Amino acid sequence: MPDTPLDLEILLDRETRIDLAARLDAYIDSDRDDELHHGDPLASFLALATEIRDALRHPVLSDTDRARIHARAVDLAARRSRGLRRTWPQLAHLGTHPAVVGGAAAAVLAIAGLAALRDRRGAHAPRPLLGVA
Amino acid sequence: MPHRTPQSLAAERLLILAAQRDPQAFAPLYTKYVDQIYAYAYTLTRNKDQAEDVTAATFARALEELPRFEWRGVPYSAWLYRVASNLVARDKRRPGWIELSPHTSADADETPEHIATLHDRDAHIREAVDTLPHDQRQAILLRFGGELRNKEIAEIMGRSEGAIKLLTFRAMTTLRRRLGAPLPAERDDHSEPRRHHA
Repeated sequence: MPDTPLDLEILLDRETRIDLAARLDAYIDSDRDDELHHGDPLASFLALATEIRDALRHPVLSDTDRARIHARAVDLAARRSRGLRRTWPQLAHLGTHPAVVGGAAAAVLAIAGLAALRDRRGAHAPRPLLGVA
Repeated sequence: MPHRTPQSLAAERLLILAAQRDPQAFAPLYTKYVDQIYAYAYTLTRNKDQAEDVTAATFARALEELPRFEWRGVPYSAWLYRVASNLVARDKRRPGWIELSPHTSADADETPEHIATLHDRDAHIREAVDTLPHDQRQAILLRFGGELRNKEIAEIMGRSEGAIKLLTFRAMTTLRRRLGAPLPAERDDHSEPRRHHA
């Protein structure tokens, strides 16, 4: 067994190496299911590629980790946009929903606006035509 | 070999469209990619806390940008990886950045279960990937963990497609040696043909 990472590259000439890298690349991106001989270096590279993919796609976080990161992400986003607190369902149980707060605030502002408009009309608007004498 | 298929991409596009209509529908995308982004962030930072910071910031950005996100026919993860990469690059320019060696950062609070899994083949592979040079590690993680194409990886890493192909091949050569895979010259050329299934 060779000792350095480059030993395989020394064993194979440059052309073979380039060809192997290109074939490996094509196989990784394709649905090809050709038969390969064990003697073909590509066979063992592909087997290794499959192993690496499976190993790297193995979950690395616990549910607690995911929940914690998720809460931090929502907090970070919420600092810039309050509406984003609604993004994930698990935040819905927090009690007062931002949409409710927003809706209530809008209603209060609307009432205040109407009251101000009525006051101004009281001072400057013409008397109603059908008003009570 | 590929898990990434036109069908899987189409399904992902639907997930994104659903999330754009209703942000609560972002949850499946988060669940699908959080582990990958964390693993990538850890590969870049070598620090669990920083990896978590980067992952949280990446998904925060994803939430903010979701209404403006435009589908380009590549996995959503390509966009997430790019954001994570940019965040790490930005943070590295700040004073106080601490990059720990691989075994001092991850092993500090290993659980018994985690220690047990170190004996698994998967754990050996992850360990071997962890010891690759930085660029090779990144390329392997994006190629196999993220199932991205060379062109997409090149964009994320700011390298040429050719450079990515070379990095990946060199990394796989190293991994073959470290993981004990027999070299082609030592194999039996008269053995039976076999099919490769992913």
